[in-house]
Amino acid sequence: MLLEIKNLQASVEGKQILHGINLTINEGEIHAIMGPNGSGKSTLSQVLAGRDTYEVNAGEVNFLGKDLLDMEPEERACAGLFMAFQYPVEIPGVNSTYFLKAAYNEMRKSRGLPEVDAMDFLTLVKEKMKIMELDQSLLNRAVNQGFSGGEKKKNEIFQMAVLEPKLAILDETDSGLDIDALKNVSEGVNKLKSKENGFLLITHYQRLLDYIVPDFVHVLYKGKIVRSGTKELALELEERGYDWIIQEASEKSVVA
Amino acid sequence: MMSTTLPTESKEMHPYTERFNQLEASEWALDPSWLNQLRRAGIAHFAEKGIPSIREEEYRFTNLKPIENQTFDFCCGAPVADPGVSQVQGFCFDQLDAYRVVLVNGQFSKDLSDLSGLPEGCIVESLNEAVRNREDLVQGRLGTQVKVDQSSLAALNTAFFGDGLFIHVKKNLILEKPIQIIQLTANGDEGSNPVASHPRLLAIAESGASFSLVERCVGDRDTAYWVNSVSEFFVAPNASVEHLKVQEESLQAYHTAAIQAYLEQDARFTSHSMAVGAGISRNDIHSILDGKNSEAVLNGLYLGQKNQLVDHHTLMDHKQPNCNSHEYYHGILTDDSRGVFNGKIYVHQIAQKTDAIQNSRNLVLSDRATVNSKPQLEIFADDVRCTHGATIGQLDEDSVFYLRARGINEARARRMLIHAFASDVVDRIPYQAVKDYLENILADRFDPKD
Repeated sequence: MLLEIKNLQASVEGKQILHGINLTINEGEIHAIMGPNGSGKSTLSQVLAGRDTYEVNAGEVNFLGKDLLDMEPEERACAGLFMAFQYPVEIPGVNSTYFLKAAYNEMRKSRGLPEVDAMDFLTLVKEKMKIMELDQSLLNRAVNQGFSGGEKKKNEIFQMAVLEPKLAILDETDSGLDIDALKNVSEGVNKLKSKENGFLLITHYQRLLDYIVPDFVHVLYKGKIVRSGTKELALELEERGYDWIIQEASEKSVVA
Repeated sequence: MMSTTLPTESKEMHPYTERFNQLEASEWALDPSWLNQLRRAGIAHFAEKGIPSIREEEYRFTNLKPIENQTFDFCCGAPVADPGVSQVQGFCFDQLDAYRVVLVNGQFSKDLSDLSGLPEGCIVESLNEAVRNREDLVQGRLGTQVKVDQSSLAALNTAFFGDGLFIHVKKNLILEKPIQIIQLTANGDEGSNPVASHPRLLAIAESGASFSLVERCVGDRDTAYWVNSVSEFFVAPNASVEHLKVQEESLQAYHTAAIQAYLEQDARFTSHSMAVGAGISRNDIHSILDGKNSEAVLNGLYLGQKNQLVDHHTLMDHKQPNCNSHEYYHGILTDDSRGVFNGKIYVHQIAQKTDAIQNSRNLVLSDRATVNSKPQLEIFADDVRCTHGATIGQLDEDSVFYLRARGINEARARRMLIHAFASDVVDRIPYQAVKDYLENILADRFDPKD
């Protein structure tokens, strides 16, 4: 088991957003979380990555046998958790390659492996470029600075290819991408998926799931998973929208 | 003397005036009369105004009372302790291929300087000597840019500079290697008053000439002293001058400096002011763009820690059309330190097509540190482009989180962002040796100690 979330409740600035999430992800599985705006999708990914602006009020998260909520963001990353940001930050003055090499070596250090030097890292970067096609000149620039929206998202997947996480959370990676970039990003993800790793795709649209086929689809509404199914659920959502699920969910809560 | 009984002079004479009178009657007795007139104008102005107070707009945030309250020994012409070549070499930038000039308490030291290989047509010598032997080059220039009525500190320097540095590069001569200037301040024996030195620099680039100065201001660590310098640059048509100053005085020291460059047509002046040391420091850096198509670039990085006060007042004086001025100042303040930046851009009515950019950014890393940043634009021409921006803030927490989410620990993430902030200015320095040196200072200051 990669990740087990039990009754996770979280709030931001005193307002509760997550009202008890339960979710288990095993090795080799791709899960998709869908839901209307404001349902708590991004909050869930930020809480898992360790953003301290969110407060965890209750629940447990187990990641590879460790208490994830007890770990600093960098410890989570070193343990194999990766979040592709919905809005990757531009960091002027920090060179992309320097940054990625620092991240890569931190990860190696945490695993008791020797750091790689600049030459070896460059070889690795070239190899990973084959997985995620990215203009190499971007790596000579500051992190994300002056990148187009598509380039920023591709850069996130490229970083993922280099860091080889156990579990990757893709937070609305598809938003703002044109069809070519979407295909490109999806191909990258498909090349990286294996029997050992897992993915959590957070998305508003079913479109991404045409290219990355999920094993499980969950619908998040008002901070709770109100329905889980297989990829057919995503297609049904595409066809019928979210209203019917919302209605079902509210009927259930009335009965309860 | 009879005159002391006159009511107008019954006021106690300022000790500096007393000292001035002594020097004028002794050491300077044989100096050219125009020079002594200039000095006298300096002391007269100072006697009238005194050390600037916070009641003056230009010194609102910079309280110089500690300087006023301290008794200093003025060294002007008096013999100074010989610091020795090995100590001086320790102050030089490793790996910087440069000519070396050493000034100890403002006095040119021939023994400690190394000017071997200096090409013909390039004069680098004691200002004292130049005043006597090259009157044609010095008179009419010295004291005409930084005038005594500009500030009482400049006036005091004018009254007391005993020596200094004179640089003259003849027409079309391009000096390939920079001149490294070590400004060393050394106190006297234990028990003596702290030293006040008044270094003076006069640098002239004839038309088409080009040279670079790398100045490093250092002194006895953990001692109090005062350096009050004045530098005047004359940049003739098509000439280019670069002045890089790394100010690393003792944290108990005071450093006040007036730097002014006069630019003629198609001339270029670049200043890099790296202010790291001194308890109180104040730099007035002025570019007078008095020729068409001239360009001035002022870069600055100031780091404040403990109780340091770091003040930069800059002026871009656009007096002719089609001139560019670019200004990038970054400050990083920690502990109880204070940063002051005042950037004035003055565009005269005739100065159409002026292109002026001013950028002041400040990183405040403690709750107690403060910054006063003020752009001051006075524009009297109508066809100009003047942009300015000032920011004061903390490290961007989204950036910190982004780096942490990739496995980089928090301390290192913050450090990377601080270095990045500084590198925007440091990267504009053309000498790798100086860049590396500044990176090390940043690392010392901001990297967590293991």
